[in-house]
Amino acid sequence: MSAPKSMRSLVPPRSIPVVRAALSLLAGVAAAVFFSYLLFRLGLPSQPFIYVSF
Amino acid sequence: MSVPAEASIQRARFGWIRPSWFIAGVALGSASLGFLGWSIGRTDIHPGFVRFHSMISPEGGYYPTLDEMTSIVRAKAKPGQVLVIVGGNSVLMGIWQRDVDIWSARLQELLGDKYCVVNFAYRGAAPPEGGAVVAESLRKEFPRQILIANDGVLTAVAFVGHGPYRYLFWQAYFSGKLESYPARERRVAEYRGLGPTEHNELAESRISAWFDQVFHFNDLWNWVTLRCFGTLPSYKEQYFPLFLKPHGIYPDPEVDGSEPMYESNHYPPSTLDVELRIVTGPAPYYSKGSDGRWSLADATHKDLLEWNQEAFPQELKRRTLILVSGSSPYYVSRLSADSRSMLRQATDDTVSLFREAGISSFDYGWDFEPKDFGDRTHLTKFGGWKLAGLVAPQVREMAERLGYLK
Repeated sequence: MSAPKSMRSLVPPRSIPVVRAALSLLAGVAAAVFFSYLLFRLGLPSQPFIYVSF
Repeated sequence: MSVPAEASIQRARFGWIRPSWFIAGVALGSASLGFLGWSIGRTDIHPGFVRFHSMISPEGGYYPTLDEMTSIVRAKAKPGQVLVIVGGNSVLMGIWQRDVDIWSARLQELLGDKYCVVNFAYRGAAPPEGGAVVAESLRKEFPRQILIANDGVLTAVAFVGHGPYRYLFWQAYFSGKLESYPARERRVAEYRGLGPTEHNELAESRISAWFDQVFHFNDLWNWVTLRCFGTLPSYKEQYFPLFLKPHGIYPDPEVDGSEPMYESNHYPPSTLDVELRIVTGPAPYYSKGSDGRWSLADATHKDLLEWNQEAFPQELKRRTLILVSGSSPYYVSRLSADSRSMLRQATDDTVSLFREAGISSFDYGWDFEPKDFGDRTHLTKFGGWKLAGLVAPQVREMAERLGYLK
């Protein structure tokens, strides 16, 4: 059984910096989405609102 | 020994991540999401809005934002119309009334095209919450406005605190959309000074409002929750993956309480004692004089009047109509003559206290029939339509008095 090829070997060496930059940019965007959701969740009450007849 | 190059040190510390590109991604993502949230906040994401039913309100883990609510008003109100915002609690929200039968739609019919009625009532909300915050925020954009809210007999109208709907007040307060007046500032300062819990709650609300003004995450994630996927368990779907369903797919769950199949839900014998105790709740604040008249304790009168005076800014008071909600004759008829006369006096006093504070008010329900109520206090469509018939002339009279129809 042959060992799995690393991702690096699938990318032409000249493209590696571009791929890294693109992946880094995407990771940054993902962090921004997470940060935005975190702020949203932190603003919500920790206890659910349960309606009792008024 | 060779010294490692700067680039090699960076690679070792961050792996495949390129810090400059990562930071650029964070900045680009935050700016894009912020812009998206900002534009969502300026769009009506509830086309055909009738009311905030349980799956698009805090009951369902969904907290409509101030921008979301003002966008609904902007989409519904045509230029030249008098804006009528319905605030208040579940009674005005129309519990026991299907969305097609809701009393506020009847009110719109009765008032005609010169008026635009928007129902922002929430279950359990006090008069200065929900719709009142929206009305105040829109006071310059829609100066020809009337706020309708309701309250129970002899109920204090607190507006500061952290109840389920106060988030809207703090959103508006900390983003500078509310009028500043001494009584309000004093109450906010008092609340802040109550203790570390209140102080921290207020600090959290302030920080959250500041961040939201920059990143607009509340509008963005509300839209995601409404249209794409839910992110939190709700009373309807408590478990993964069921709670992932977008809240927008849920229809308005209110039923027609006048249908015979719900008759047994209206006045269950098991709750009779509790309901009668609620109906006679004002009793401890009253004493009966030798002339047989019931008098409200001076201290209670003073406190309630003070709260009513402070609950709304002066400008909004003139435009506000508070309905004092009565109880079903099913319960009132079971009271002793003494208790009934006390309740009548308490209802009259509640109306007077609002009027004394400069707010229009009237009570309803004493001449309603049992079929007009779906339970002790909520109205069926029949009661709702009667209420609309009582409110419409009052709204017209207020609009006339305030010079809206010139």
